[in-house]
Amino acid sequence: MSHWNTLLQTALVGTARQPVPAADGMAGDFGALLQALQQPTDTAQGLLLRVAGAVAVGRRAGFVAPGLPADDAPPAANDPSPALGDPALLAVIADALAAGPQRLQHEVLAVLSTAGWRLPPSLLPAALDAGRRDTALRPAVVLALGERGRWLAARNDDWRYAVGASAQADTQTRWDEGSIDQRRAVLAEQRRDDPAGARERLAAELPQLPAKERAVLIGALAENLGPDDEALLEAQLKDRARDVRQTVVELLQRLPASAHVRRVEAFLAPLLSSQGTVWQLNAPESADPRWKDDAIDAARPTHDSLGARAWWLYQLVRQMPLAWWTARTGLTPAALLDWAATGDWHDALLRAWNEAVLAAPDFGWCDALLDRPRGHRGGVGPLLALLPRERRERHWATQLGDAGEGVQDVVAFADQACAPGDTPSAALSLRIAQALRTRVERGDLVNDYVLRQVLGTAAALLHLDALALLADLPRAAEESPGLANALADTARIVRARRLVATLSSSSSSSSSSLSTSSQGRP
Amino acid sequence: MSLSTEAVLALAPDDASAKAAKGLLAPAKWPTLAHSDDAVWGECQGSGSKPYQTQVDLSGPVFRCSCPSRKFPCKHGLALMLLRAQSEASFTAGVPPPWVADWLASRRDKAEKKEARAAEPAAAPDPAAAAKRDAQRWKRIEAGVQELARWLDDQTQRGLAALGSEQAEGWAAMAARMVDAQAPGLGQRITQAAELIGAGDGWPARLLDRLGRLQLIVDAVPRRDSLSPATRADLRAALGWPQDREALLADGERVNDHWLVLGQCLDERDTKLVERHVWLQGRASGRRALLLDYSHGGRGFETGWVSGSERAAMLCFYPGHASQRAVVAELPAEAASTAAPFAANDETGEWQRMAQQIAANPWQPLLPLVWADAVPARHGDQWWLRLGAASQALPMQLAAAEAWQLLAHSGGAPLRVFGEWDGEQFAPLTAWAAEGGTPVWTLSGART
Repeated sequence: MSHWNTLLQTALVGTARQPVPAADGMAGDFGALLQALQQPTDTAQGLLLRVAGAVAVGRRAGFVAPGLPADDAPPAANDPSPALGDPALLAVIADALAAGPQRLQHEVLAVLSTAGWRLPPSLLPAALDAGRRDTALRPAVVLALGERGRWLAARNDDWRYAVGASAQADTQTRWDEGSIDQRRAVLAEQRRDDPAGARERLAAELPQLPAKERAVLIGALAENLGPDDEALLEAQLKDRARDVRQTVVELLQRLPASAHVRRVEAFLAPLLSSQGTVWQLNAPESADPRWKDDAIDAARPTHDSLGARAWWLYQLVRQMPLAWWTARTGLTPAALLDWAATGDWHDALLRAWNEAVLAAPDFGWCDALLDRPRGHRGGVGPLLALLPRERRERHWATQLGDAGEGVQDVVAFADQACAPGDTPSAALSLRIAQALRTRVERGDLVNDYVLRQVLGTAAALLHLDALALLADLPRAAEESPGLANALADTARIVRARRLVATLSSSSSSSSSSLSTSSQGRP
Repeated sequence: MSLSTEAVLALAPDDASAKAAKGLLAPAKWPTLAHSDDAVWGECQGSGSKPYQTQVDLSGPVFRCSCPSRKFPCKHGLALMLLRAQSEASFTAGVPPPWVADWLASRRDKAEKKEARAAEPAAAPDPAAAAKRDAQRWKRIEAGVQELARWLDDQTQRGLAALGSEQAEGWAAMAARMVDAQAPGLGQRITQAAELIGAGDGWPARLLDRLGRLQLIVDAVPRRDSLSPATRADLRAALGWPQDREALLADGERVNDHWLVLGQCLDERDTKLVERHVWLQGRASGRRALLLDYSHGGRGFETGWVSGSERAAMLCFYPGHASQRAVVAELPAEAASTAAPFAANDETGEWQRMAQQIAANPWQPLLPLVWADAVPARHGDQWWLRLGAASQALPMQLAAAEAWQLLAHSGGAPLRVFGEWDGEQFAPLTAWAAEGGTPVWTLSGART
């Protein structure tokens, strides 16, 4: 209706400067109404708005919705896996996604998808947002999305991370169209059954990949690494990107017979000599130009705690497989550590050995390093993370002590060492939980703020069998808000984990029904 | 019916109460958890030596608790209903103990006394005194409206293009003047119009629309004696003239039906004032009704409504042409049930219904619309609701987080969507899957 636009123009300019436009020529009853409104009266006050009001009401009554371009994307595909429908489970998962901690979030998502369920629509935005905020959570989020979740993620740039190729797509499609994580997964999977094929697939594309992707994808060769990989890795030692060279060096260290290792040995061996039964070590007197070809970094950072010669020694030792030391000297890792402590190059050796063991895990060396006094070892968490649980827990049990006095440290170590989804053993978890419970019953929570934090961490971390000890911690009539919050949060985490655990047990007992159920649990 | 977790949380007076309720969900904190056909009750361990006694009459649901909280329902009541929704096995079936049975009995007593009182002939009000009060109020309103008419004319003489933030004080002063003139509805419309100045593309057109419709109210006041009684009632409502509840219950149009709860929403009007809209549709009559309630100080609302549920009630409609606003005159004790799928208009029917509603009363701010075949969509930063058969869409007024929820439930497939239409934007409140059943999505939390 163009008359509305005419009225609007007059309204903008003002009736003091422009007269109210007439409704001449407008046909029909509505036109007659407008003309009647504009009949001369004793006052012209309000005329413009009166006509505009009538037109406005007419426009509302006759509203025609605007057109919108057609949406090319089809609706979400049907999901093969059923959506979780149990209200109690949905509530605890929603709370976990909103309030964390991350370990709990990962657990509920992982248990859900492992048991064959997917998230219902109502939880998809919260899960996708949790993955947006926390990149470590993304793999678990993606597995729990289902087709609906992936469809939704494709519509929001913030959730782009979840839209690789569909998990159901074949390998070639995932390799061609998937995200970097999906492509890494393709290589890792192929490495198990066909390591040569995976290597060739990677080699074909290496030249055109950006540096970050080169480093990530070369890292996938760690799966089922063997001597046949040496040629490709050797060629990448000259890569322009430091990250790529570093990844390559760490992989080559796992191939003791590789040319790289032999060259490093040639640099290092002359520095180690024996006089009778006593071994002596020298640091290099100068940097060797040939080091560059093996990605040995001779440039010492200005403020590094090591001196120049110590730095060079450290750079050589960190690239040498640890087995060389024990083979060459005949000493055990523990004896070597004792020997290093008496010499001039202890700091350089300790640092280098810590990095070497992280690059090419060696359980004997991990144990030995962890048994050193606190000041004589590197970070505990990363070392513990390398050990299988039984060996790692020996150290934790020692740290915990008979009376549980070390419980806070042990929870911190275990939290660092256990990947999401992993827990300390049931036996150790029970000891930890008992130690914590004893502290709470003693009233330590009132003043110990670290303990409040540790309690929540432990609730998310410990084995399910130990949760009963944390389930009904004693409450007092007079609790400060902080104390009450800590206990309530612990209770929330315990309850959520116990409830989510029922998914695994019910799934295993009724797995034959999964293929026929479409909504909710059977 | 048993409430879902979402439905219980929708009854929370505020977010803090909902969060506190979640902290009370360990069954160990509840030495007693039990239910009968009519009620759910429990005792919750609190900070005192004696547990709080919490109970819910399921026909409302109506809550009662012995805790000192002024929130309504309190966190204990919410937690009790959350436990009922999530851990039904924790409740034992039993006969209500005295502290529950007595309360239920007293509620029935109150309901019966209310019915008895309604049956008594009302004491004759003094019509002369009422007429005098009305005349005085009309006089004040008319004086205010004359000022408003001159003021509006001044605005149009200067032109809308001259408006800017410096005029905000003048508009606020005129809005306050309308409240003094006992026409708060006019004040509210002026305030809403002022918010449009300079706001977004096309604000002059939106402002002209509002001021034009305001002018129609201004014109109607001096002509009130020549208006029909129904139109005069619409005018009084537009002016913000409160309706006397007793007179309404005595004389208003009553409709007895099974009412489907189409949807509801909360709006925060002031720091502590919350306005709640509950939209109903009669199964037999097809009538749509708006229940408008206010809560102050975070106390919540006495009667809870569950979107997608259906319950019998006698509603009493405000006077006016095709009035939508109503109050509950009688609410039988029978519990709400999950509504069977209701027949919905096609799009043409819905638009025609809207047009007729506007023709009957052009001053209604919001109109309820049900779209049977609607798909949410996002284009750029704007959310839309595609109307299925035609290639048309409505711009949606919806917070981003809620919009993503709605889209997740749709998955690109059609939904049945109910919401409020203000003439420019559609605010969805409830969505069902195409095959019906309980709603898959409801608007949660308060709009600000």
